[in-house]
Amino acid sequence: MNNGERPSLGSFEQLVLTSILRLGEGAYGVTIHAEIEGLAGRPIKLGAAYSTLDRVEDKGLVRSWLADPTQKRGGRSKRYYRLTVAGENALKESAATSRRILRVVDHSWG
Amino acid sequence: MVRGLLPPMVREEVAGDLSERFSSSSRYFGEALVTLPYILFSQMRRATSGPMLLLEAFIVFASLGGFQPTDLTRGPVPASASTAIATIAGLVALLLRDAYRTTNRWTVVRALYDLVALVLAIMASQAVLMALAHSGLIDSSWRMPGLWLFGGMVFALTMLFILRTGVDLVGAAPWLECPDANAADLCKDYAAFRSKVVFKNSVETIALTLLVAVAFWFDLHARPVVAGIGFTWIGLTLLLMTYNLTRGRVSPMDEQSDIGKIITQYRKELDRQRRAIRFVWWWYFVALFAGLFINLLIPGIIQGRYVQAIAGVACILLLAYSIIKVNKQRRVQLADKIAALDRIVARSGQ
Repeated sequence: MNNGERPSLGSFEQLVLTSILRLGEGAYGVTIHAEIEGLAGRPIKLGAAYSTLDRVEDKGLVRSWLADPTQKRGGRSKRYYRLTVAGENALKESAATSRRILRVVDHSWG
Repeated sequence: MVRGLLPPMVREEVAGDLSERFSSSSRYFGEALVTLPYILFSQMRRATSGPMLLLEAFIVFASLGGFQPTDLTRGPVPASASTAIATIAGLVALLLRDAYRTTNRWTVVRALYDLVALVLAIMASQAVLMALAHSGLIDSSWRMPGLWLFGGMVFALTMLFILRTGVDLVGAAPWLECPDANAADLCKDYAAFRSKVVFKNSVETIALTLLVAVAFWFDLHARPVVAGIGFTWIGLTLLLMTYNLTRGRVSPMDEQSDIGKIITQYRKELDRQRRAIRFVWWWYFVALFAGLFINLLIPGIIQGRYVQAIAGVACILLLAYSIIKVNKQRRVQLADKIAALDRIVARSGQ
């Protein structure tokens, strides 16, 4: 984030942050990708998930760390993600905006 | 093979994720190939910035003569077109090096390998053009003249080395964030900062000497007006080198001082270096600005080629914008460093 401004979230970034929120301690590449597909209701490219995870990490909305390697993954580590305080605030604001939009849409189109 | 294609900074977790998801080799490989472009672009974006890339493009393009006047072109192909090919090849090499970096730090070793990749890419592009020209598919003037290429590369490599090693003067010091960071830690960090400044000044002195030598050679063969400006630049650059050698150093730290005095001196030196670097960086690019004025803007106005003149103005503004943004990135790093020092003061209660 630059100059203390609160970053705005794109729709895909919202999906990524929501997935991380929902997964809690178990949020890493594979699970985040599966959760995003569940929330979006359509197939999502794994690469798109990775590049968005990098982007939100650079914005300071999530932080990541490499865990210990596991035999299940050919002895390779998982990179876990967790929301930062800024990420939680950005997601709350985004959710509030979505609720306002939903109220208008419901009112206009029933 | 897939592990080799994946950038080192994400290799571990991405290879692990793919092996967790796909047990079949063909699906694993197929998914890796589809995922790779996303990861490469993301790593490129993380490693560099638009302004930095723009600045590098300007340096390579201008150094290789991309802005030279059309009446100096050897054949039907304009210099800008032939130079663009070499520039694009060089930039692709730099971007791939950034994507496949093994560290986020802008180290000397990393910069040297980057420049080797740039040279190899440019030479490869010229080799391909030479082969195409020999087979009669393209005109031979698509290739750049050897001597011009050599002289331009010396200039470009020097500027790029300064750019790539000078971006990160104050490295991340995680030990400063520890609750028990003390005066000894600060002195250690200050010593590292001081070494970097000494190294930076040495590199700049060598680089400026090379630039002066190349500029001197070009000025000997240039038109009188251009030579006059060029020799003036050489004189002022020599003054700048003298200033760097005599006043550009960082004062040593008295390791017996308390934290408050150490931080005061550290902040003062950080600020002094920030101001010096900002001025010096603008100075490096004076030659580029002058080249744009002399080769694009002024001839465009005098000869009524208004598209060329507008292109000159646009290039000048873009160059200035890039320098401002890259300087701002460095200011942000220095500000973060000063904030880390302030947190130490707050924690120590001083």
